[in-house]
Amino acid sequence: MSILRKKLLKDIKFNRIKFMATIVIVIFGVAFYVGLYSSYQNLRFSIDKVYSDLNFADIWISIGYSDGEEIDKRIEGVDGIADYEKRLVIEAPTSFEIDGEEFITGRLISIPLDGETGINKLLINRGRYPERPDEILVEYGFAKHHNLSIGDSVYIKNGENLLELEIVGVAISPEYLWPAKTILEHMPDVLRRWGVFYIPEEKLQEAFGIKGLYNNVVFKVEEGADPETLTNILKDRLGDLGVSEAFTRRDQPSNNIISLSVDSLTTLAIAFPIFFLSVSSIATYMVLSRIIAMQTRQIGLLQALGYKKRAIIIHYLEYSLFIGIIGAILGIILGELISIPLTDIFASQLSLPLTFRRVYPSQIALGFGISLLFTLFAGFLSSVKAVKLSLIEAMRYTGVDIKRIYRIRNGFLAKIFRKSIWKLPFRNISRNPVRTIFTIFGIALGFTMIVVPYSFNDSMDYSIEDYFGRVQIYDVKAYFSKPYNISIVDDVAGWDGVRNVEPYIELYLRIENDGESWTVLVRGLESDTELYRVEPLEGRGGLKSGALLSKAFLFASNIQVGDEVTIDIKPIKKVYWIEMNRTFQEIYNETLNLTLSLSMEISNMRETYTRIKNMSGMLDEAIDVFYGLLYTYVENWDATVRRELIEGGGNLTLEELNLIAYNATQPYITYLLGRYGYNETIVTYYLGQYMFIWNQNILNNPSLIRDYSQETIYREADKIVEQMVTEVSQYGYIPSEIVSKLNKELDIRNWRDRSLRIHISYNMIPPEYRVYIDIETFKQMVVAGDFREFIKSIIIDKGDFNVKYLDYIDILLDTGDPEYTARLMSDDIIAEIISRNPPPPDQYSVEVIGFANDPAGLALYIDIETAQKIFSLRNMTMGLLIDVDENSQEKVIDRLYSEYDILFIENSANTRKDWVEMLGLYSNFVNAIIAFGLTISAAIMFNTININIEERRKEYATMRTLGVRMREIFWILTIENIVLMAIGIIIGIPISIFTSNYLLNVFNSEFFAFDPVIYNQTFIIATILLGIILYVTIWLGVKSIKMIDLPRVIKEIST
Amino acid sequence: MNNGIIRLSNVTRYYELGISRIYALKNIDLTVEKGEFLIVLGPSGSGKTTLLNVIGSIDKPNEGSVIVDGIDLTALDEDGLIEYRRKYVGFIFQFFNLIPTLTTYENVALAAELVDNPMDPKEVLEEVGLGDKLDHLPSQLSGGEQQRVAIARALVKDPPILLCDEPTGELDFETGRRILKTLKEVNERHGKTIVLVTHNTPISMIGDRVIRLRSGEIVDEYIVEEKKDPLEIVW
Repeated sequence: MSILRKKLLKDIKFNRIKFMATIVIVIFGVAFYVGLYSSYQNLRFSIDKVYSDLNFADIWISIGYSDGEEIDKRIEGVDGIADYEKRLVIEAPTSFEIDGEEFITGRLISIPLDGETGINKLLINRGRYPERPDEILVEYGFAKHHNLSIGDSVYIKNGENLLELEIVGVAISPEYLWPAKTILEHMPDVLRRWGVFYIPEEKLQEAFGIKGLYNNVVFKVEEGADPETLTNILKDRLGDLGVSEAFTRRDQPSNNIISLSVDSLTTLAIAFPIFFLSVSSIATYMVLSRIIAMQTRQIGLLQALGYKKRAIIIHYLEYSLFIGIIGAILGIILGELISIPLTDIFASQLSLPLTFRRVYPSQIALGFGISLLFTLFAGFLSSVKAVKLSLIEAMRYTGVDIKRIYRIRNGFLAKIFRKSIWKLPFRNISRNPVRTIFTIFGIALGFTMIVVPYSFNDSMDYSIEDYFGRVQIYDVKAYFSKPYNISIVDDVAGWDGVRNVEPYIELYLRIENDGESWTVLVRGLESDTELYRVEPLEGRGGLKSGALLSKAFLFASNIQVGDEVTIDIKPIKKVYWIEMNRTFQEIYNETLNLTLSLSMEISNMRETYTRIKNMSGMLDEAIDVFYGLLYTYVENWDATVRRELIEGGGNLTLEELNLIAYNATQPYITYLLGRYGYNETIVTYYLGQYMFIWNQNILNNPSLIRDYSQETIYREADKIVEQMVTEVSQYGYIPSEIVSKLNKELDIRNWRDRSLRIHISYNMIPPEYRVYIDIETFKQMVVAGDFREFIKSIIIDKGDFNVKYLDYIDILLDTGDPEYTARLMSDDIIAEIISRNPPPPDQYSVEVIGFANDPAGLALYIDIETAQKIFSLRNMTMGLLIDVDENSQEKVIDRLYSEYDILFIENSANTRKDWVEMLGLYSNFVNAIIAFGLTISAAIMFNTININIEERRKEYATMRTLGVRMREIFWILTIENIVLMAIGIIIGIPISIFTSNYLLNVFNSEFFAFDPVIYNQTFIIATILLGIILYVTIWLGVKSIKMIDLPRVIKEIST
Repeated sequence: MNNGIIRLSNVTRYYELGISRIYALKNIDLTVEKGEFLIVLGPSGSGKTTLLNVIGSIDKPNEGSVIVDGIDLTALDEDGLIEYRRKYVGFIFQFFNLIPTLTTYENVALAAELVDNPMDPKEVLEEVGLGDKLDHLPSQLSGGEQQRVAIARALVKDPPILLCDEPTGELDFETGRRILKTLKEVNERHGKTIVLVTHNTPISMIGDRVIRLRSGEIVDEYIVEEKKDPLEIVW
């Protein structure tokens, strides 16, 4: 081994503390880089792997209940489909107690009993796959939230019947990695009221009377096929089955939220490790160059001995290389170890039940390369600098730049620091400006390392505080399944404990600006809202004059104040119908969601009929409706069939008669259907049933023909209708064949879904567009008219007012009040309604007046009147913002649930909790970063200060021989370093503000947009932490000075 | 001789090196009289600096006692030793050991501030011939000047004892002689007790007494009969 190499090893041994501390900086820099980056990549990798292992679907399409074969027929031949699966997705009230009153919404998804799903495979986390029809699986997140165990029973309400099922397993599904009900309903809170259950297909079909029917199809596309294009093709193909929703992975709620969350993490996961690596590399450079500078005399000596400059430079490069390699290798090992718990922490925060780890060679190589580069650079620069000095300079090197020694001669400071001993700290600071700058820079970096990650927590905290303290003033937000007249604002305002109520409309729509478009929440608020005080950060206020965009737009778009954005309402299909609300409440003084339309759940039909039956007036009307149809038909039948019977001599079999009747009536039915949009199935079914019974009666009782008269027919018809209503009442149920037929042909469930979803899936595949008119307005418009007249008038062509059979039911029963019902339906009225409620525009442009102070997501705020106008919700509200006493909150929420059709209710306190939970992912990340920052900061500070002390060991030793006490040396060191720290912090403040602003701006996305805020206390904490590090370092330094072998050190030529 | 200001009895200082011991001082009995100029002569490694360090309390003997002006140094705690160094001894090192950031004046004042009744740093510096270089930093001074600053720094506390460790070791012949002259004057004018360590035999001619060390033991001791003026000696 050459002497120089031996010297290298001895130097390392002699300076082992400095050496190790330098390596520690390299280790931490590389470890945090590798650790954070790997954890982040592991997270992405885990998600991708779960998706690929569980064959996550590419396309989802919801349709009306349809026959499996029909679905197959339509999909057949579509290019680019690799695989698809039909299934049922039904939402039904679900409970865990047989007599429980608390119901949550269960999303029931069918699974095959004889094998497993091929797409969106389920991973059994606990228990086993169902083997019997009444065995089910429960989704992992929900099971965890409710502490459900294997063997627990689940009760699904289907009408008055309770379906008891047993949980046999807990399943992880790629569809619900983040348990999001919809894109809007994705906060952890949603699991309190909603969960996913996997039920054997046949059991589900049987329980809901929909054998052989499906309402949801999931697709895998072939490689290279574009899912978006395919979705459009499939939407067309399946269109006549009543497509209510169609989306790709991008808009799949769970994936959407996970993608946004992970994307937001990207900045933290990439920027911070690079920041750490850079800072630690710079720090390594600083420390290493200082260590080499301390050897300047030795370098001079080596030169004097005849060593070539190149040999000396190589010697110090080896020194640096040694530090770099050892640091990088240990850093990589530590980083990989750190990534294990970190990956799990992040995964658990994302509710990702599975994690997979990988080693990322390119990142390791990069970490290795960067740290090595910096250490070699430090070694090279410092040794080159040293060998450039003349021999004499090098040999006499003291580390003092005499030109720059700052002397306190006069003035204030001179008086304070009169004693020479107190001059030392200041002399030390100015003795070597490069060293001082390095020290200050080291402190500034250390400070920045602490403040920047803290600032992320500050920004999140501030944004939440600001949002919930100053913006979101309301305590409760109720969102309805359907619009209500705005007068409910006054109603609710009168409730006990309610302080203030405001109407609120929220729709998920797409907006455009300059060729770019975003899916946003369009929120209509009162222009002088007290409860949701969105104020512009930039621009002017006043929703009357335009729209405010959420802060996230500052980061997600180039939209400027004054630009126009266009709200796209185009995809909404314009099918109008009229729905009357609150009628029953007004007339019968009873709160009923009595929209007796077929858009109600089948399971609730019985309940509805029962209600009708109990309200004689309503029953009469229901019968009237039917009569109306029946009589119209019978009159036509009469003319045809009687003629056939009479002319044919009455000698016909039932089949013949039926055929004749069918032939005779079918053209009329077809005419009705074609002209007025009657639904073939329902008309055929009811009228057919009447016809067949009637024919049977005629054959059984030929005298009927003879006795035929208008009255006879009416009497018989009465009997049949009465029989039907009685049957309905007695069964308590619509006969299952009707249900099945209705389901299959009329897509009743889908209407139910639509009415529930109308405001949330508005811009996706909105099936209908409704014009809502409040009852008061309507009453004013109603003029005299006969109900039977209505039946006739309703089937007159209304042009673009496409009245459907169901619409007619809606109108009839929703109105409820016979007085109004009788008078409402003249052509004039309907025309008037339409003219007062013109079709909404395809697009609505609004000027952006500013960016609002809200931190979450993409939103556009408009005045509620504008919202009512563009969404045809005149005088209506979709939701309420309520300021309520804390004590009355529960009562008010209960009352809201009981009196209105509630889609969801948000309790501000819970929302806030959810927010904090949601942000937990980032908090964990940030806390990890804080810990890393603190460690690196401590290592940098320690090294910098320690080297300062080490460089002057001889001076301190000399002072001790003069009789200077350790306490005084401690103070000299403390003053010096406090001054340096103060300067470092002063410089560190703008650096940290700049860095945190920069990183936060990069971090801010369309998911979150936080204000860059650094609390004063953060600066104080960082200062205190630095102070502690400083104190410990000085304490250790003083200890080392105390330990100095005085006799040896004072004889040393150089330290 | 029993009333000497410095009394070392049976002083032994050794260093453990693995299983072996290296003796720097072995059973040293030495008394230095007040005002005496003692020269400690010996080759490198003979233990002379250790002897000086033991007297100056920056090193502790393993055995024996060191009594200075009646104070038993081996019985003092850290504070006591600091006090002792402040009041009783002034060090002059071979390598000057000035604080590079302090000026000539401040280096001296640094020591002056440690005691209650110091001499005037300026006067002391003038006395050692540096009255015109008060504001110079050490690096702006020659070796001889730096050593004179070190002497001034030792003197300014007005200690009864000056301990000089090869004070001319780093200096050229001429400068070295002038430094010795200064020390001799300090000894005579201020009555300071001086213990001067050197390997340079001719220098012993300026002292009152000489002890010769070898391998940590006093091998010879004699009174200098024919003292010479420092400027007369040659080495």
